[in-house]
Amino acid sequence: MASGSESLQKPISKAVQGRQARRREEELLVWPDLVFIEFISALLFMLTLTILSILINAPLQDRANPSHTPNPSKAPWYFLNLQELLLHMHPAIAGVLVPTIAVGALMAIPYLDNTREGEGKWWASPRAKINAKVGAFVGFFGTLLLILFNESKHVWLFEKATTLQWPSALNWLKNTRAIQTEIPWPESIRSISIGEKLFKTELLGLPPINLVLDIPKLLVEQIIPMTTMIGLPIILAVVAGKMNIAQTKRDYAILIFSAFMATWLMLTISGTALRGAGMELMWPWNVKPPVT
Amino acid sequence: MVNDNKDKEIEIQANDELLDKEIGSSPAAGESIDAWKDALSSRSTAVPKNIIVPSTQAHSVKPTVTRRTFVKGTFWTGFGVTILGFVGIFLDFFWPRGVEKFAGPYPVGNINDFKPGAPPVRFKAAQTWIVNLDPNDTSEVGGKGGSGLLALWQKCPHLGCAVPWRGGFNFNGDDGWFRCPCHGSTYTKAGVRVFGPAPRSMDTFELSVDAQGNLTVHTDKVIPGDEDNPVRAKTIDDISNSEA
Ligand code: FES
Repeated sequence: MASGSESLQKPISKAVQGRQARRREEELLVWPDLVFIEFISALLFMLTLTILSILINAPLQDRANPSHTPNPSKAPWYFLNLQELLLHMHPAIAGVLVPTIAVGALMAIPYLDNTREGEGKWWASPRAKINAKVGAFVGFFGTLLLILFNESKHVWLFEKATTLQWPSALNWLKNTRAIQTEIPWPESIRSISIGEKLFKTELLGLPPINLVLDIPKLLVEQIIPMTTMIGLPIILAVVAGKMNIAQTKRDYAILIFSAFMATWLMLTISGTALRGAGMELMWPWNVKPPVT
Repeated sequence: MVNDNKDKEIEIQANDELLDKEIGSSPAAGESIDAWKDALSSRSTAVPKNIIVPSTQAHSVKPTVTRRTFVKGTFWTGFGVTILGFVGIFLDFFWPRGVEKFAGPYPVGNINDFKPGAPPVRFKAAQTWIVNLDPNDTSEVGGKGGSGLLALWQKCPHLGCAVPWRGGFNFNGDDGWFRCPCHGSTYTKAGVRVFGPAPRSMDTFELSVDAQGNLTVHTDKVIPGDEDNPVRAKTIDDISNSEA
């Protein structure tokens, strides 16, 4: 008993004394090295938030009311990238499929790129920086061009530059939706009834499920956006590979990741700063607060 | 630099020893001016080293609540309260309140209230835009020559926002469109979609009129919107004939 209580009273420092001390340059202490920085960041953040809340009025409003929609109706800024996507494609793709795949792909990076080369180092590969730059550039401006196309800005540019009317034979190239509405698609592919063929409800004595396939609509809302979102990154990767910009797995990972981040950034910028009343594309200085 | 920590440790030890000495040996009164030190040392709660009480004798209390039970109880209480809170907030947000029955007939004024070609009029309770298409206006935005009254559901067929009529909004060189504030779907005066992510044109309701010319919109009879929206418009004669 006596020996037991004695060992309890021993100062802890003695127990560590025998250990080899780590060299000071190899370690960072939580205090002050980390906590001090955190403290300063917290102060700066609070200061910014206080100043912003004094300068910008953000009133609390009523509970959501579906028959009362402010113009424009925008999500919180960090969701505006998804809302921007919603302007261009089927809501199930923009709102469900894309975020799910994006998060899944981000989580899969360490499994796809499992080479141990340059572990834990920024810009370890000699081609890392050029890949990041190329990816970011293509992602950012490629997205911008796609947005401008869907807002018929090429038509505006053509008419400004040539003072001619956009040829009506090319009306279907005004935006993606025009491919559906401006081409005289035969009625036979615009309403293909597949309900009875797919679900044999009559075998169960149930009323038939009315499912109509509209090919041009499917093309515009789902096939074209999906092909664009999958195809353009593949083209980017292939071209970068052919030009020897990307050579290793790590290079491709950096290329596609930075392209993705730049696309996300562009979508956020567009949804936040370039969309005004009626979610119309406009210059940031023309974007006014929502009219309730 | 290298031995910084070691130095500190040794210092701490030295302090401990100093403290032990002070507590252990009380200086004689008068020898020291620091009388408070005496007082402090006499209050020492440290167990003298030579008395060792076996722990079995020292704690002979039988607890009614064991530590394990207590921790478990605390965990499940905390967990339960948190879950209850979530459920409560969920119900609070999703509990329908102030919802009036929507589907059914609504009076929407008299036929004489609507002039052909005038801006659409909104009826909030019926969630309806009443449009009177001008047969002489053959432009796309004006309804492509459809003529008469049309009841459009304000709910955007895309994700359900209430679509406002925007008389001053310019699109494709024409003024006056229905433009959804959520994702920019654009509709003509007859509710035909010309742009945007909406899957179809604005849905329409059935309209009827009585002998005095009072209009009723039947919001339980929704017809999915399509490009034939303008044709669905009924002139005053159409409505009165069908009623007769
Ligand atoms: S809800 Fe109207 S365009 Fe999306």
